[in-house]
Amino acid sequence: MEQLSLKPLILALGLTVVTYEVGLRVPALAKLAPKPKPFYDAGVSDRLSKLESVVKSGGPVDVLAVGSSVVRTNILPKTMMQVWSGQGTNSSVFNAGLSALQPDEVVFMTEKLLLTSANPKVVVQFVRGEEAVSEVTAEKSSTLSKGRIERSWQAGQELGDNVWKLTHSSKMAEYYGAMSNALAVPLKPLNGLTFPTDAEGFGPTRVLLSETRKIAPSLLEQPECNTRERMSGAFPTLEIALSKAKALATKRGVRWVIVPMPEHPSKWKDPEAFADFVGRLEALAKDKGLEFANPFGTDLYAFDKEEWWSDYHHMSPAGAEELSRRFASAWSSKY
Amino acid sequence: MQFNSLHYFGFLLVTALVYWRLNFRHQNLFLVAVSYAFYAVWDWRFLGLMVFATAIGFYPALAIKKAQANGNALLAKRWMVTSVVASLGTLAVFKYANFFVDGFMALLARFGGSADSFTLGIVLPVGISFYIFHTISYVVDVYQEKLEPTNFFSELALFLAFYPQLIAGPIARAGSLLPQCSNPRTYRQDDIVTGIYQILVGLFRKVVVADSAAALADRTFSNPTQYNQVQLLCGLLLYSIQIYNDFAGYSDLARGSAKMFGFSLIKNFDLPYFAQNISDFWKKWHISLSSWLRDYLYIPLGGSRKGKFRTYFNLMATMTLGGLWHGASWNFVFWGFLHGSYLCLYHLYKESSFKLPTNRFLQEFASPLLVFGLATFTWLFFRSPSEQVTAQYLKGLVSGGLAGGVYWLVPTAIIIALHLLPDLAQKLRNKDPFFIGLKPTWATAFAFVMLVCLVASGDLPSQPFIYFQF
Repeated sequence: MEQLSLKPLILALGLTVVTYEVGLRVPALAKLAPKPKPFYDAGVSDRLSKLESVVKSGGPVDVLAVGSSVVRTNILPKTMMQVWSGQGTNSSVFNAGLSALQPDEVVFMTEKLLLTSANPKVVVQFVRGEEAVSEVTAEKSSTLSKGRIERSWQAGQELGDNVWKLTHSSKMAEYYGAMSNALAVPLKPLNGLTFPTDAEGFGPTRVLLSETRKIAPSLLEQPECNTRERMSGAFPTLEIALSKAKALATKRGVRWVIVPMPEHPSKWKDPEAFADFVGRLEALAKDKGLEFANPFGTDLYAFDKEEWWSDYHHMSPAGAEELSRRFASAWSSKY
Repeated sequence: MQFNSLHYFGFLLVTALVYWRLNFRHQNLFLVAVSYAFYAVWDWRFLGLMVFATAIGFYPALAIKKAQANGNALLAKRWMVTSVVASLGTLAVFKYANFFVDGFMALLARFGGSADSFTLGIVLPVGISFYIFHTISYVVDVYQEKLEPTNFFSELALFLAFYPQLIAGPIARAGSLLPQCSNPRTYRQDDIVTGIYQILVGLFRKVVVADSAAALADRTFSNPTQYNQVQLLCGLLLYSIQIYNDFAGYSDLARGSAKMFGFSLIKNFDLPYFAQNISDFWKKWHISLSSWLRDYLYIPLGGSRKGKFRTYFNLMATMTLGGLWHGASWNFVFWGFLHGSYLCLYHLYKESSFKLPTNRFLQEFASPLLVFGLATFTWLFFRSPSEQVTAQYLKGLVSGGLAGGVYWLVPTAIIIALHLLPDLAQKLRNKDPFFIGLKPTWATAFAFVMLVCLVASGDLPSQPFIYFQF
């Protein structure tokens, strides 16, 4: 019987690694490879496509608003631009809120995706109370590791944090996984799950939340109040996130501004707890060398109308309109 | 745990390393334990069902042997029938109950009866169609005295649960796999290396070819009205390529994995898209199922021994039930019915005096292309999620217009080329895996191309195997 040898396979494996590691470091060769177009989470895919389309049609974005779903639902670029336009400033804003991400994940996504598609002058990162005490880092993020976001990061993570770091130094590992269905790349949109969006590029989140609140309020999150004790503890991963944000801002030459995001008053045990949070966030941002802006003040009841809220931190369209208007009005002088 | 995941390869490596350090009896017990653990990862609630399936094979087989030894043929037959009925009953309850209840309710509603939402809500246990067929083949083979029953429950448990073939086959014959469970396996480096190459080919088929094809095929089947003739045709072609490479890739992975433990599993595909005629196609497609249906359904029904009409009836019944085996849905039944019809027409042609001219071109090129076209067209009914989508797809294929779809041809052509790579290599070399006996330079080149494509496809945990749902 003719025998098989492992030698050709081992040789081929080595050749493959060398080909990718060398090839992807040579821009001319890297261009020949199928363009990485990963299977993002539908929400991410949607935001990124919209950002690319805005940059393509309207030129660079001046202000990139980043953060979790609260940015997605609460920030209305059109309203902000209208306010600024009335004040004689023609600045463009893009809402790059990505659902379910914690601050360190937001910085990670901003570095990996958003800043590669846009070249903004300012990045405004909104942070709400619960996110400040989150213990989730990008490297230990189930959102990233379970494949909702990006498979090339997942590939490394499954093997543990150390290997994750190692694979991020490998061009091949980065490329691997980002290339799903590479042959079908020209046939966009690849992601059949992409949600329909309205004229501003918003998905159904806002509508869903409003509707859910009407028909089944019990399904929505019950308020777990933020207390002074909670806000006096460590902000373990936020410190890491802001350090990374500073390094990224310096590297990319952008201003990076931290802003506390208001929440429904029921979310806070008392006004002092909210004030503590704002104060600590400001101190931390400044300690890390980042700008801090708080156009909403420390008044817990600044957004106290029920009709402004879909749940305890996502706003209704009316609330988003109000918050965006106030933010743009108060912050314009700083921009 | 998907076969195309890093978790699986870690699991395979660890279990193989431990396995070869154990003695024979412990090897069997260990494999049963890890196979049950593997199954439990899918759904631990059905482990009891797995043990039950083993029991309804093990004890009746021993009873059959005893009855035959005592010359009591009637008792032996009763035990065989009891076991087969219990196996089929289990399959009927878990796989087909909802289907028949729904059908009954629809019928009731049609005649004005009450058909309010009554459903059994039974969950389909993964792999049930495969391990129940294993049980049936074991008991029938013992009854027909083709096989000695095993005296060890663990050996039969291993035959049924051996994890490389547990979820989606190949449907191993007791006569082939059980002796491998009963006799000590020898560690042979050749087996391990062959298995590794089989796994490489399987991964290539699944990750590079099938998953790439799925990206486009899935879109056309999700909403055919949005696509034109060219796109729908590409979508159908690509689904044909997808299902073949998905299942053949799985089978390669299963066979390669089994080699790591010194087992040889039956070959499940033999280049079916190069088949000369539809009968040849069924000798090359899902061989373990088609041969099972032939031996345990078609032949017991009378096969071709009871006249022409009965032969055609048997063919239709076998293929239609073969369709139903895939799932409790009318589209599978219709798919099987169509293939039964093709087989009947082919046999009619063979028996008639009318003969088409034959030459090398027709044999080598036109006939396989015709068979491929027919199989591909029939996949439409298999894949469509509803009659409405089938109708939309058929209408679009005929009158969907051509504008704007030509750019689908390039990726379609690339995927076809990738699909042909392992198939043509295997056909030309007549070796499986085709790496056997290949010059080192060529072997390196082929492995290199496959690995580069694997990295570029890079979506290992993405698409579940199609046949896992059956």
